[in-house]
Amino acid sequence: MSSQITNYKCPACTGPLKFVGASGMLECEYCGSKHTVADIEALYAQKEAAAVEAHAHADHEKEAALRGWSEEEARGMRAYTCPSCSAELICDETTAATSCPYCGNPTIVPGQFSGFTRPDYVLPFRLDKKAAQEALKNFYKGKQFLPKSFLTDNHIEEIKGVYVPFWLYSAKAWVDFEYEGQNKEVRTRGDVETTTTSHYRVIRQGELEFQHVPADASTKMPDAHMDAVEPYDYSDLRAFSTAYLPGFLADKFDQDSNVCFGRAKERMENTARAQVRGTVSGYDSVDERRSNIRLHDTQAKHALMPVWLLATRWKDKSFLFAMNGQTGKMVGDLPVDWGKVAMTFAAISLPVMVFMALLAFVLFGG
Amino acid sequence: MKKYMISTLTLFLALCLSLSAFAANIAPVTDKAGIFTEDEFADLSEKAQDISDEYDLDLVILVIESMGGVSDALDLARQYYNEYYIGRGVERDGMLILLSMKERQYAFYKFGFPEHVFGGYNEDRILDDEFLPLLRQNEYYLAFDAFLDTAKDILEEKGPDGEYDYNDYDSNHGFSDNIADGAEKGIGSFGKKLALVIFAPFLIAGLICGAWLSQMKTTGIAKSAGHYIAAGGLNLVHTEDTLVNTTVSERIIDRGADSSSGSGGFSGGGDSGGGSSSSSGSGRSGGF
Repeated sequence: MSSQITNYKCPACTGPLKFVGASGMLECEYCGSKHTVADIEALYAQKEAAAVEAHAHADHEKEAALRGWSEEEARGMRAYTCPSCSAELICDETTAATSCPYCGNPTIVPGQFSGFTRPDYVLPFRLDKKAAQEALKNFYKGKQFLPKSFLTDNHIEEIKGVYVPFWLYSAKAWVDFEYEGQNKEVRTRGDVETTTTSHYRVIRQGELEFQHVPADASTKMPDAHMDAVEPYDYSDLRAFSTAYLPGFLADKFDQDSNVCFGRAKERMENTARAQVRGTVSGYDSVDERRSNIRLHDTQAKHALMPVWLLATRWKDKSFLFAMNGQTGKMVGDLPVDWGKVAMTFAAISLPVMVFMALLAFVLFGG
Repeated sequence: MKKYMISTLTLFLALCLSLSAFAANIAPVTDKAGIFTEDEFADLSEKAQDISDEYDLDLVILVIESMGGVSDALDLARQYYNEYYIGRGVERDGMLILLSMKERQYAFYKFGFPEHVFGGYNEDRILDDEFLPLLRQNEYYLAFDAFLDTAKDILEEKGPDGEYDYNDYDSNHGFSDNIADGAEKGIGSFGKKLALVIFAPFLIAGLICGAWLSQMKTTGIAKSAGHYIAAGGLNLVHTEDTLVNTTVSERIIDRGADSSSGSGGFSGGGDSGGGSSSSSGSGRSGGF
C-alpha cells in the first residue's frame, strides 16, 4: 500500500531537502545541492498522487482501533509511517507537513491538501530560523519595563516555522451614507449670546474594493498573534505547491471560509465606514444619520502564510512570540515589571513637580 | 423785530447747546438721598459731564432713597434710563449708576457702545476692584470718584476711531499670550496653582509611562482592512452637501453672584447680573 506521506529527498544523495527562503529553492542538507521547486514538483508528482490516493482511502478508524485509541483520540489524531525509516508518526488530524522525529526527514502529507482543501496560494518563507532568533533578541531591546531577569533567564523552548492556513477574502463594498453636518457661529453683544447654526444634509454613495483581506483558518493559531504579524507582501504569493513545505510545519485549515468570513467582513465594513467619513469635511460637527454597507462579488482563497513561532518560558510562564516569515515583523506580549513602572513614574513626576513649583513661585510669588 | 430775532436765535442756540451738552432730562448727578456734600456733588457732576462730552455718551449718577417696592435694581435703572431719555445719538449711548440707600442696592446699567466697552472683564474691574469696596465702606463720594476715574481710563483705551477694539485694548494693557500671564489670570486661586503643580507632572509621567507600556503588548485583533484596499480607493458616484435650514438661539450670559462681604451692617445679596430682557441694554446690580 502506498504511503500517505512523502519525504522530499535530494536526487543527488537522497539527503533531506528543505525549502530555503533566501534562495527560493530546495536545498540538500547533506550535499548542498539546490533544486528548483518546479523540478522537485515534477520529480515527486507521481509519489504525491499516490500519497493523495492512499490518504483518501485510509481507514483512520481501523488504525485507531489497532492502536487502542479512544474515540476522542481517534478523532483528533492520525498515524502515519515514515517512508524513509518506517517510524510511526503520530500527528494532529490537521497536520500536513512535519518532520520525522527519528530520521529527521521532512514529511509531507499531500492528502491533507487535496481536493477542496488544496490551498490556492502559498507565500514562501523569506527568513530563516536564525533570523527569527535574532529578531526576538532585538524585540527585547529598548523595552523599559521588561524584567531584567527575563533577558537572562528566559530560554527559547521551541522555534517552529509554520505555514499557517489563511482565508484571503476579496470583495466589493457598496456604501451609502447620510450625515448631518453643522456649522455654528456665535456672537456676543452685551450679555446676550446669539448662536446661528447651519444644518446640512450630506450624502455619500460609492464603491470600495478590497483584495485578500486575511483571516487565519486554524483554531490552533491565536488570532491576536496572526492579525498582529500583518501585513504580508502579496507580490510574493505563489500558486500552491507542496515543494515549498519541506523543512517547515504546515496544517490544513479547520475553520472553513464561512466561519472566518465574519472577521474579515467586520474589518472591511470598519474601513469602508472610515473611508467614507474621511470625505466629509468643512463642518464643525458631523453626525451619521444613515449607513448601508453591502458586500458583493465576495471571493475566498485559501493560502498558506509563513510564520515563525517562538515559545519561551520564564518563571513557569509561557510566552509565545510570532514573526512574519516574510517581513520579519515580530509580535508578542512581554511581561511587565510593575515595580519598574512605579519607579519610573516617580522618577519623572517628582522632578517635573519640583520644576513646576519653582516656576509657580517665580512667576506668581509665594 | 431785530431784538425778537436775536432773542429767538439765542434761545435756539442755547437749546441746541444744551441738547448736545446733555440729551437726558436729568443732570449728570442727582442725589435724592443727600449723601454728597456740595463740593462732592459739584466735583462729581463736573467729572461726569466731562466724560459724557468727551465720549459722546450720557453718564448719569442717580442716588435715591428707596426703590419704591421694585425688587430688581437693574429693572429700576432701566426704567429710569428710559423715563429720563438718557443716552446720546441713535444708539442712545449711555450709562446709569443707580444707588438706593434704603435697600442698599446698586445698579450699573449700560446702553449702546458702553455695553461693549464695559462688558465682562471691564465691568468686573470697575465694579469689583474700584466701586464696590469703597461703597461698602460707606465712602460714597470716593466710590463714585473712583468709578468715574476708572470709566474714563477704560474709555481712553478705545482706538482713535472711537471704536472699541479688544485686541487694541489687550495690547494697551500689556496682556500677552504668554503662559505666565494667562496662567495668572486663569488660575487665580491657590487651589488651582496646586492642581497645576500636582496634575501636570502626573499627566506627563503618565503619558510617558503609557507609551512605554504600550510597547509591551503588541498582539491584538485587527479591526480595519486599510492595507487591503484595491488600487483606486473609494470611488464615489454620488455626493451631496445641501443646506437644509438655519436655526438661531439666544441666551443671557450668566455673570455670576456678587461676592459681597465686608464689615458690619451690609445687607446680603448677590448680583442679579445679566442683561435686560430686550436685545439691548445690559448691566449688573447687587447689594452693597
